[in-house]
Amino acid sequence: MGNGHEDQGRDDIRLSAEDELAFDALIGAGFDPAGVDPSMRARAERIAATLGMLDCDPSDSADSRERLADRVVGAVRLVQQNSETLSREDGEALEAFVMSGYDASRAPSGLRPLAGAHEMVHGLIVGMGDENQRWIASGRNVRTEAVMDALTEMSASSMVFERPSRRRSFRIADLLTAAAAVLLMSAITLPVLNSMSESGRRQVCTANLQAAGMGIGMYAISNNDSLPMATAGFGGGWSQVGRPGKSHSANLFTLVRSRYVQPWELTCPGNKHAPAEPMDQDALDWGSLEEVSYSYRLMPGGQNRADLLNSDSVVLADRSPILLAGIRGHRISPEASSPNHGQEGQHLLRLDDSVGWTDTPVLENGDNIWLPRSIEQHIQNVRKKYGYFDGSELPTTPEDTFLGP
Amino acid sequence: MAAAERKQDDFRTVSGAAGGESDEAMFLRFRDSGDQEAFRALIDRYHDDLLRFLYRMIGDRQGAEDVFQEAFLQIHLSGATFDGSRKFRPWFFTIAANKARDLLRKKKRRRTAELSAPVSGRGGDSGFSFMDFLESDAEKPDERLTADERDEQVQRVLDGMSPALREVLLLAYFQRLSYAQIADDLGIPLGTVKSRLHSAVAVFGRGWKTLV
Repeated sequence: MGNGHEDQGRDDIRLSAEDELAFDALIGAGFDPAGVDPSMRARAERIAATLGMLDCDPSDSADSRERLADRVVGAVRLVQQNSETLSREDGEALEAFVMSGYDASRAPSGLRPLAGAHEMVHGLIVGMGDENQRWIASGRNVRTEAVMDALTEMSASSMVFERPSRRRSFRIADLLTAAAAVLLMSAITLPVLNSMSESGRRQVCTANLQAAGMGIGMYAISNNDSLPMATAGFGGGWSQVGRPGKSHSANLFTLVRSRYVQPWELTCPGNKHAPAEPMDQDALDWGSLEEVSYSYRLMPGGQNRADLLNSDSVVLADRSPILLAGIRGHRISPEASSPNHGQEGQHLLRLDDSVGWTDTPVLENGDNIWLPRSIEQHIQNVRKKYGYFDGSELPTTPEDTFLGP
Repeated sequence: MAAAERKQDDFRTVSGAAGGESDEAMFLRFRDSGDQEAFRALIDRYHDDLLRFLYRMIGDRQGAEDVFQEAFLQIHLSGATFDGSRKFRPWFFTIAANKARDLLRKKKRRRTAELSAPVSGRGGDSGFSFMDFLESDAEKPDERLTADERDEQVQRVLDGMSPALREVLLLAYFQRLSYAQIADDLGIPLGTVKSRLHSAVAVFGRGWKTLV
């Protein structure tokens, strides 16, 4: 409730003595002027009517009310699940291990035993080889589970984990939780991703879209089969990234905000403009169109129900090459591929969670994923009218520049 | 809907027996047995009042929805600190107000100069009086403003108030609390609550009159 000097001037207004009495009586009557003494009722009514302006309609519809309730229940369930797998102590110990420069002996004494477990798991990961590390860096849960399974197996065979230099053994439970934490945290390092080869970037991108697919699925389960939306009342334009309500990417960002995916899982290593720093906890959207790595399916009329789509419908893809140009009025190439991977092609995530690579944005049914049908038809009409070169075309006038082969 | 038209029961049933199971019993059922049905019923019960309060505190719907979610997450995480012999509603609103305050602090909201100007300064020796209002200022705003315009204007007035006054006004209004209850919730002396609320009402009334 603290307020600084700046507030003092603004708050330096008081009620008249009569209004104070009437307001006190109104409070006493539970804000019902009918319960106020008749001598003060007129004033109380006036005050109550003015304060009544504070009322507002909090819900657009019964549907949006339901959706918000789904979102709250979904978030609580997610927290419940997380708290079952990683304790606060584990989180703190992991942080201490990382902050100590990956040397558990330098961690605060209270956290040292658990930090030692993190160190042990970290050592295991380092010894895993490039391919496994790349998977870990992509934050894939399936691999996390695989490593956990491996550790459990080692436990079953009564293997004792021991740090040779300090002769300290760890309980398998410590190692398992440490493994989970290290694997989850290992995915953060964008600079590492940026230095990858193109094939590495594609692998990470595939893993990202798979994680996004899982996130979208979990969101749908918690939200009445809906695709992610920033607010229940979304219906504005889609191009103003950074302005939720007018930005479609804010709808996709809901996955991050509601913790269905981690920020790096919606960051393609091929997007040089992706935010390199961890995003603000309060962020509602990316900061600009350039920062957005993936293009997310728009739905007609603000609808967002997944059950309106076929299972093979594309919901997410590497970022569109033509949005940046198109909304700025620049020339577009309808069949160009995403800039994420050198315009060689793009990954597509479909509603059935499958992720694939394609070197053309035109689907089997002729639908161009970058364009709405209205523009596709317009382009087709132009092509029909003017056709393609047959090798006999000539300039219409001497001023008409047209360079031949 | 004007305050005068609202039924007092709207605010009382949630904690009392008139609305069926009390909030306290419902929350304890969720906390102690993980009863998801009780939790969902609680969300539904608080949807309107809490979202109104948060919308007015924060000023945008998306922020209000986020804090609404965070407040429910917080009572899930801090459920053990709830004293079953006390009322749930003030405890929950205090948690929500704290979350809203955190968000506002992070957003570092800037109040517009045009707003702070008209509501600053003294109200005159005799103080600000609601009887200075024309009838139409307070009672029939819908005839001159659309609902959206009215909402926007109200928000501008609230944005021009200090956080302390805005919070005490909204807590008092949306919970229909007595001075003693507010003092108890906020942990500040009764006299301070009274003078702060008087100021808050005066600032809001003056701001509204200036803008409309």
